[in-house]
Amino acid sequence: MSRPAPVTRRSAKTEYIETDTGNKISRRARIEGKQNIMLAGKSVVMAGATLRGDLHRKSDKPAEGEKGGSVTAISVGKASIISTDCTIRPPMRLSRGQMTFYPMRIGDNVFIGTGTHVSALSISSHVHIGAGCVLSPFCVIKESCKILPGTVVPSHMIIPPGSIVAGRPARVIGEVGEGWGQGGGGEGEEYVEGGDLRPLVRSIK
Amino acid sequence: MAATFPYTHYACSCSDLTTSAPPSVSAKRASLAPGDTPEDSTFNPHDPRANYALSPLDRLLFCDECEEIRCQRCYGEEIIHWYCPTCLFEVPSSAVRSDGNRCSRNCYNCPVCTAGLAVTAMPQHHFGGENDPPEDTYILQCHYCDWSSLDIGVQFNKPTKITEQLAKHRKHKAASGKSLQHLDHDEAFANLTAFYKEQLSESGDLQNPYSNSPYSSPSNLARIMSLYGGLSVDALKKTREKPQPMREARGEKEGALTYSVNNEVADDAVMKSVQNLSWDETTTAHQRLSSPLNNDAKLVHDLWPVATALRTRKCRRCRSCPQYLSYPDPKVKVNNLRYKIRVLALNHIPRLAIRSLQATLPLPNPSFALRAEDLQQQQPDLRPHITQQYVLTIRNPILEPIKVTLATPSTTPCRVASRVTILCPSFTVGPAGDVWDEALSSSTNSMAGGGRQAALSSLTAGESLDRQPEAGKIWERTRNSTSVVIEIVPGSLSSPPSIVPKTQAELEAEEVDEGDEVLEVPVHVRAEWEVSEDHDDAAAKKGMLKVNIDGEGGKVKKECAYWCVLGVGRIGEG
Repeated sequence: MSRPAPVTRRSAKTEYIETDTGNKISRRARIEGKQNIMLAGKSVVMAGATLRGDLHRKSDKPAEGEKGGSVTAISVGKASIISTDCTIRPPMRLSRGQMTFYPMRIGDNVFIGTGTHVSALSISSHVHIGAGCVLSPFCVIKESCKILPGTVVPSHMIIPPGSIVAGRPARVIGEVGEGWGQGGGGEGEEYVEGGDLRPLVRSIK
Repeated sequence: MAATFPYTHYACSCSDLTTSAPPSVSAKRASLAPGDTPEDSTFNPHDPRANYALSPLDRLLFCDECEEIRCQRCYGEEIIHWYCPTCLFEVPSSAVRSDGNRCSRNCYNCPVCTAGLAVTAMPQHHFGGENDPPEDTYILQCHYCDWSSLDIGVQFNKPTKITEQLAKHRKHKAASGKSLQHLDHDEAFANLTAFYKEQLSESGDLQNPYSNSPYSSPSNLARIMSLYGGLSVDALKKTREKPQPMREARGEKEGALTYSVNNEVADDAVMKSVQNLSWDETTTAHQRLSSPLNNDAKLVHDLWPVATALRTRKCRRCRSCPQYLSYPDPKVKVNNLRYKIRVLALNHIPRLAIRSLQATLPLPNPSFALRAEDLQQQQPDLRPHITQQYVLTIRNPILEPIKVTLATPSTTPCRVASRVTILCPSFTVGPAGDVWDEALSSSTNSMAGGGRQAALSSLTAGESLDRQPEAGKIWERTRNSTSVVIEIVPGSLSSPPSIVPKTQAELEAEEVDEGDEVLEVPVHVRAEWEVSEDHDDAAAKKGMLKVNIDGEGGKVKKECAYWCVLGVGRIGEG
């Protein structure tokens, strides 16, 4: 993970640590295993969010004399927003008596609403996830999807690209319009779901 | 569709609610009420059919050739390909019909909860002293509701080719449990079609019974018979069989299911089992309709796993001209949902957005609620009879500056009449260009000397408290958008108390229906712009001759007009 910018001596601490790649991480976020978490740039982790980077696959035994490389447990793309009180935990599987964790990949411009539990194997880009959802382990969400608030996505479900998903268990209830993600984020414009989230990232203070 | 205020919905010109536009308004202070045009040419958003004409902007497409908005009713869809949503494999259209629109690989859904079924290996118990490696048995398991194929007693030997193994198990079940189960649906259908085909051929078409005999007509046959001797014509006629009239099916072999009153033993058994059932053990209609195999299942333990239904990817074409409006990339497994062709309305028509004058930019959007408290926030209701000022922003997506004219009825056409006034109904909006255009143009402006004043005014205009909205003046102008002020006085839901007691009919007419308290303002937008003839693609496609309009260097005037509805808020009690 990139170094935080040099901290100036100020009386009041800012809410977010800002790195030189533009990531904003709240001081009240609970992050474990921060060496194994990659934030691509201009992403936001808000207060109360729990990121479990300590749950990673044990790296293979290194060759003699070499140091084992670091294993990425969670990688988040650009301009993605993880809202307050979310839990991001890499999925794990119990196979032949051994617990293995799998790395989780979150794409660009992903908005994860407040209070959701994310254990998905991968979330592609331009996905909008509502508040209070549960993404069970090993589910796969393809790009440009919209997940309505309160859905429970069962484990191992693959959500095809461009679908609107709701319910418990989640079902595909529709498709996103052609204009998904287009037309927002200009100066003074409203944020559009699935669109460029950089203005929203900039506005989070 | 949008429950969050403020919203903008656009009306396509396909519906008969949007008829011809009112004449363009002159730049007066108040917006011109279309009193000269008949009342029903105003778009009434509270009309029961209005919802079928309105769409949010991301669902609207635009046809280049016709130069019109195309809503979901105006474009036709064609299926490009079919794919399974779980394995994302493309299924060729020939296989789609034979598989019954379902995935033929190992994708199954739980019949109880419709979540996905996963092929899992059963845990093996190693008995002491066993030297043989244990056989792997596999089951289908639902991770959401804990249903598994063990509930119907089905296990698999190998994790692939589940379809075949399931079919085999189904046949075994049908064979063993024949007494209680009647004919399987597919078998009954097959028997019945075979029976009817046979009946058709047996009952005699009377077209030409001699068509396949070497003698083409009865007279021919009779002649040759008499030549060589043999039976006479009359004897021949008698021996010819009368064609049987067509009959209906009898019995299961021919496809008919019969129920007799006397089958008491079976009925008693069924009734006894029903007495011990709980409600949860019976199937719902949704579960029974999930697959043809489950159509007759009355109890949950008769339900069979459902093969995943295929989904389609469609392309959209304009109905009037066969122009593709949206053509997605056929490859399903591609990482980005790419389009080969995509013509969106939001790139061609001016877009409107409304917000309260006092609201700070950018607006809080409920779908982007970052904190749990934001979710609970309800938008405050509008108070009747209090003038509110709103800023209406028009954004221009095309590369030419446009002249926009707005028109709205002075009172909203619904039961709760609110007064609407646009302070500046006619103005221009700049072209959308690259960000570089803006940077380059602003630098030249500042050098022209008027920059210092502009800079000062921009500094002081940050505090917009002192600015009063003036009639006929634009509120704010940026590179490709212009904002004007709208004044809205919400009407009140209940009419004022009157001295004369009201009749029953009047009281009923005053009751507030659902949706009446939503304040929606219909606005007619008309945009005019000029395009030089070289860039006039649409006319070139239509093959129109170049006519010098206005005699000025070949510029073609274009215009586009549509109705849109601005959802402002909910009116509360006064």
